[in-house]
Amino acid sequence: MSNSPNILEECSIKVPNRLDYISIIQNYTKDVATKYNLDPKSIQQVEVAVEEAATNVVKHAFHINKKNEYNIICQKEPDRVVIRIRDKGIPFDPTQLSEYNPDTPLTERTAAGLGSFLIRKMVDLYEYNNLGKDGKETVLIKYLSQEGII
Amino acid sequence: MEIKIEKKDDLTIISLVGRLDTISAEELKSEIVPLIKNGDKKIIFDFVNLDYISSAGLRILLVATKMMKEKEGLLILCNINDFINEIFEISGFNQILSITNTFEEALVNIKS
Repeated sequence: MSNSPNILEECSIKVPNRLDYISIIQNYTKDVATKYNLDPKSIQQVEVAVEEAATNVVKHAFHINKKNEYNIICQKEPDRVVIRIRDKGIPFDPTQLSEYNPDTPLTERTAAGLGSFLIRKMVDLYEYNNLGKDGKETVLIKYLSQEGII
Repeated sequence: MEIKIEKKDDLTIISLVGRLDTISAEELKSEIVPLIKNGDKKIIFDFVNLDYISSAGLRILLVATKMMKEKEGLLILCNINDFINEIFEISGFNQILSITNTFEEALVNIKS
């Protein structure tokens, strides 16, 4: 984990690469984000972003029937909450998925890229980092409101 | 998520309770696709007890809406909470779905 001097608090969980664990991750990140003073609306938005990002990991980072695990790391910095979804699976950059267009007419509309589109709208910063031998991570960042900054 | 399906004459009312996420979207798909294939042409989705939706839920709504359009049917959603409405607006789904504020409005629209 990072030793950045900006990190005031940090916690993490390790979960199996299974879709039925995603709601557990969501509850965990919701509880931690609440503890880290994120406002209720932002917590709801983080909940969506976490589901989309974790689903990408489970569906694309690992072979579907091969048991594996990945980490969810929550960090509090002075002005933000950072959620890192870190795995050692197959390289896959979710930020490079096809672009979803919300104005496409129904007959031509597909849901391709919708998950990543929602993540971009739900968080303030959305990044993908290649960590070399340590795998890769999707980073979701939400800024604290004035009331949340201590 | 709990899926309640009620039939009244040629009308099908589907009430969703809980969360429409990656897991429950598949459950909904397995319920709704056969209904449409079997010829249900008037469907109301009552979201009064639905708290949450993600892209997996939106995908199923897109599939159902496209199928209904092909079969010249009508699918209306009602009683959507603020959070789900925000997701619909951001994703542009409010442009492709038929949405009413209340169940009564949905009923009037689908019968007219």
